Amino acid sequence: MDKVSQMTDGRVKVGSGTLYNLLEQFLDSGIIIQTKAEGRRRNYVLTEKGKDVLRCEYERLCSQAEDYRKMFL
Amino acid sequence: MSQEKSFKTFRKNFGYYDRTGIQEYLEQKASEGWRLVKKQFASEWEFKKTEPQKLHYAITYLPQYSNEGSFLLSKDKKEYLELCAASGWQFVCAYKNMVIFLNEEENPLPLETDPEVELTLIHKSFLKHDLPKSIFSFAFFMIAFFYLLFSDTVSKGVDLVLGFFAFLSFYTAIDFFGYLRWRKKALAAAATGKFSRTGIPDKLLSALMDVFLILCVAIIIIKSIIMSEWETSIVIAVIAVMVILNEILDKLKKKAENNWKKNLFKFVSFLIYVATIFFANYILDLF
Repeated sequence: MDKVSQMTDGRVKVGSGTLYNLLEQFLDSGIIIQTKAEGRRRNYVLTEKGKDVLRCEYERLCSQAEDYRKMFL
Repeated sequence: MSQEKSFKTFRKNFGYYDRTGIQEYLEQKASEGWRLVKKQFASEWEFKKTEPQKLHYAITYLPQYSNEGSFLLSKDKKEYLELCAASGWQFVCAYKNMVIFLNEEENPLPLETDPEVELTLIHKSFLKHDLPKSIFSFAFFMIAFFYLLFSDTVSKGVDLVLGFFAFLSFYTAIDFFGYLRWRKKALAAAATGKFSRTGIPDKLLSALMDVFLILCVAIIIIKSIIMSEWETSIVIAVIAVMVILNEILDKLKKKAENNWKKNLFKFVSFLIYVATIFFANYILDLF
């Protein structure tokens, strides 16, 4: 949760309840897999499917940003 | 303080998915020196007496569980609670698939920060646990109400029971449609990243409930007058007067400035209940 906030300069904050449910959704949809569990610590990694989903989302956001640049800048 | 006085059960009714109302109620109670211990039945909340505190409560819904037992026995429970505890959210209790947390920090990060994720959880819970019950209640309401309306018999108890069940089922149906109305609003808000306040059925729906109650009572009274079953109409009228008097007393009790006045109103309310029961029995025996 802290890392998400650090990665986005405090712009995005994820509550623990939201994080838990998102991780469950991502696991169910095969976007991430759990690599290891050490006590309370859980490690996850993106799958190939997850990388594709992330790339598509990045491209979608870039397209929208480009549309804005064309129209207003 | 004695053991008995340090714990108290309060009755307060909320729509099942009225997380805003529940949260605000629990926080208000905490500021008055009552800390939630557990939720027992639909409208019973057990509290423990403490020092008044400013606490934050969060209510979430886990559709994969159907009761507190299944949640507490699950393997995932420990991981979930540890993750919540990492940001200060302490588990208080669970009721059906509702889980309640509290946080003692001044400005805690909310438990749920994504309205779309929260809406998904709530809707899954609703579909899995409440939809079958709501459909059944609504069907029962239709049957009970139309039987009440069109049956050509009046008995001392049957119409009263039918009216009572029709009203209960109508209340469940109102809660059901209230949820669907809220969900539509919440989906629109979630699309812009905002949470939507939950609440009791709005004024229109509350008014519908009052109208329906009056309609049921009127049908029973009219039928009993037509059939010369006077005792039913008298009993209904007495119950109606009792309900109105108790609503007035309840409002006076809430406005009362000290405990002896509150207790006085409670005592009078109790006397009215007892008097109504005795009078109703007397009338039924008389006829």
